[in-house]
Parts: sequence; structure tokens; C-alpha cells
Amino acid sequence: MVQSEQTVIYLDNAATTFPKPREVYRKWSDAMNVCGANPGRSGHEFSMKTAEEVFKSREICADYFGANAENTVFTLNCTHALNFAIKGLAKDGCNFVTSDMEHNAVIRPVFAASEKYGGSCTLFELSADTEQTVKNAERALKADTAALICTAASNVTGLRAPIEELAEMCRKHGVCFILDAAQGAGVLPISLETGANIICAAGHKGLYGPMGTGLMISDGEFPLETIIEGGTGSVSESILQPDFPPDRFESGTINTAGVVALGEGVNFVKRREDTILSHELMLCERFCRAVSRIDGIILYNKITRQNSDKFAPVVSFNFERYSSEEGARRLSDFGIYMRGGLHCAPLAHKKIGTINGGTIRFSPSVFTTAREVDYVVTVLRRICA
Amino acid sequence: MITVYIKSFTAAQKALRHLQKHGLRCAVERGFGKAGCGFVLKVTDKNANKAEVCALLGSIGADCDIP
Repeated sequence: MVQSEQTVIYLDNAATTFPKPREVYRKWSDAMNVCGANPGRSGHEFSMKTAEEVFKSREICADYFGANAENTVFTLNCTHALNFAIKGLAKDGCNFVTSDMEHNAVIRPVFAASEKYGGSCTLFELSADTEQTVKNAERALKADTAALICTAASNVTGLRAPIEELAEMCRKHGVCFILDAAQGAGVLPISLETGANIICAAGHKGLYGPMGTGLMISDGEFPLETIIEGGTGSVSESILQPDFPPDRFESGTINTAGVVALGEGVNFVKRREDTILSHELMLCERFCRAVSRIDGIILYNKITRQNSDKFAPVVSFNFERYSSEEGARRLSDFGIYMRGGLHCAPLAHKKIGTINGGTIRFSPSVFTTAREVDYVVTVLRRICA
Repeated sequence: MITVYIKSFTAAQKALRHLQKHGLRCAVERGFGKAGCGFVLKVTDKNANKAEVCALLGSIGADCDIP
């Protein structure tokens, strides 16, 4: 990748994938030019054509996650989707159960809802041991638990959650299982078939869509209250919010071009379903293998061929002699872009002992090459020398 | 022509696809129904009858509001 005449290696894909596939840029540009009218609000041709393009993208996303189109809601990002799901289920005195590896996109709405409704939040330990994790989660459930919310994979260590097993346990107890698929969608095999009741996903990460896009996918088993109300272009006579999805959750004009391009990103992922995860894990293994031999680097999750089924393609590390932000800045001087800090996941950092300084995060994409990883390793050696 | 009022664009498009799959000519337009703004599915196929359209829409769980 060449930017401003300097070759750069972008390894901050866990925050936002970059670059996007060519077809996503093309679709986004077409949509900006052609889908210029407000979808579903007017009867003229422009508006109707735009609405049709949005519907096509909705169908693509619905199909990918094994949902129906009505229960495939476009949001602005994964955080919005999680807020819709969590706060939509909150009621007086209710309890939420969530893991000790969650992102602030889960923890903050959970705590805000608990405070507002006089409820509580119980954390359970997510570990590499599936059976133990499910036992921990089950023990955390209470009689008034409204939902169990769990990340598909930690955005700090890449540790994967046993999604199907957690979903089965939740089903047994009649508890709604909300899956935070910010780091999983497009990379890990995630759909409603896993048993999750609600899947929240970012459009701009593993689904290769534009920023400002996200999804809340539901099986419709747990009705949600709304947290935003407004114009939907439907049942306009009523002062009450529509009771049918997706309109119920899509008040106001959506990010039309973004949503249309997201469909193209999902198509791109669908065509590579069997190769994205293996390619990215191979790069993580290569990175870990080389970096673990460098004096002066601390590796927090060593992904190997033997344990790679437990991880999403994310590696956290630090320089012994620099803070994570300072280390990331030094890498940036070499045109290597990685993120330092807490990655909005303080609980995960508390758990791995890096709450005071954070970590640098290596997160490749489908476009990252082995040659780029080797160059990064060379630079790390040079910095540590 | 049979006119079906449908509340949401998503449901209207699903209904449209379903009827087309069954060989019925139809189109979605913006319309005004009992609940205010919404969408109208116009079945222009001469051979279509209300009962058939209702049954087809019912099979995909679509609200069938035929005046």
C-alpha cells in the first residue's frame, strides 16, 4: 500500500479494515451518485430505487447471518447495535451477565442500563477452557437475568468465546444471548445458526463495509423496546413507533451509501468464507513465531498452529522499554500502523495485567501479506536492538 | 388490478419477490393506507385473484390488507 509516497503497512484492522475491496469503493461511489434520494420516504423513482438498493443489501446481510430481512437492522456501528439490544431488554431490577473480556461497547451500556433501572451486572470469567467458561457463565445467571452478552472474540487477545455452548446454555435457561460480533463477523463462522438470539456487528471491520455502518441481527424471539424513536416513512399517522422491524429500529435517514456498499463487502467476504480466517491466522502464527524470539518484546497471546482454533486473528504485544503508545508511534515512523493503548477494553487489560500501559495490537486483514509481516518483524528487531 | 397495502418497504419487497416467483406481475409504490404513509403492492396480472394473493402473502407472514 502506498500513501503519500511512503509505503505503509496497515495492521489496525481490528479497529477498521483498510483498504476495502475495490468493489466496495465502486459501490459506495455509485450509491453516492445514484442513490441520492431518501430511501422509503417518497414515491418518486429516485427514492424508490434507493430503497430497492438498501433492500438488496439487507437481503445480502440477512442471508449471510441466516436471518430474515425484517430482523436485519442497519445501525451506525456495532456500539449502536449493542445499545439497541441491551437497553431494549432492560427493565426494572433486571440483571445482565457478561464476560470479563468485554469491550466498553458492552460494559458501558450494561452499567448505564443497570444504574437506570436499579439492576445489576454479573461478570463471568472467559477462558480457553470451553466447559469451564460455560460453567462460569451459568453460575453467574440470576432469576432476573435479562440477557447474557458475550464477545465472539476479545479485541485485545483474540481469545474466542464458545458461542454455541453459551447459546445452548442460555436457551436452557430462557435467557437472551446477545453476541458482540465486532471482532468476529466476517472472520469467524457467525450466524443465527450458532444459537445466538441477537448478533451485533460492525460493518466497517471484518465485513469490509464503510465506517458508519453496523448491523443488529435478531431471531425475533426477544422483543426489544426502542431507545430511539422518530420518522420511519411508515405508519406515519401514529404518534407511536412502528411495532415491526426493521422500521422499529431505523428511525431517521440511514447511511444509505454506506449500507449499500456494506452489502458489497459482505458479498466479498462470502466469496472468501473458507480462506479469510486461515490466511489471517497464518499471518498471526508467523508474527508470533518470529516475535517470540526477539529480546525486548513481550507477547501476550502467542498464536500457534496448535492453539489457533482458540483465537481470532489479533495479537497483543509490547516493547519492554516503551509504553504501548510510544511503541506504536515508533512503528508509525516506519510506516507501520498499529494501535496502542487499552483498545476500549479495560477489563481485558486488567485480566492480562496491562491496565496501566495497554498493549500494541497486531491485526491483519485479508489483504495483509506474509512479506509485510516479515518487514514488521525486521523493524521490531531494529527498534529492540 | 389488486392493490395490497403494506406497512414497510422491506415487507413490500419481500412480498413482491414472492409473488413474482409465483409468476404474478406486480410492482411496489409509495402509498397511503389506514395507518398513514406506507407502501402499496400493485398486482397487475390479469389472472391474479384476491384469495390467491392473500394466500401467497400469508405463506410468508406478510400482513395482507386488501381493500
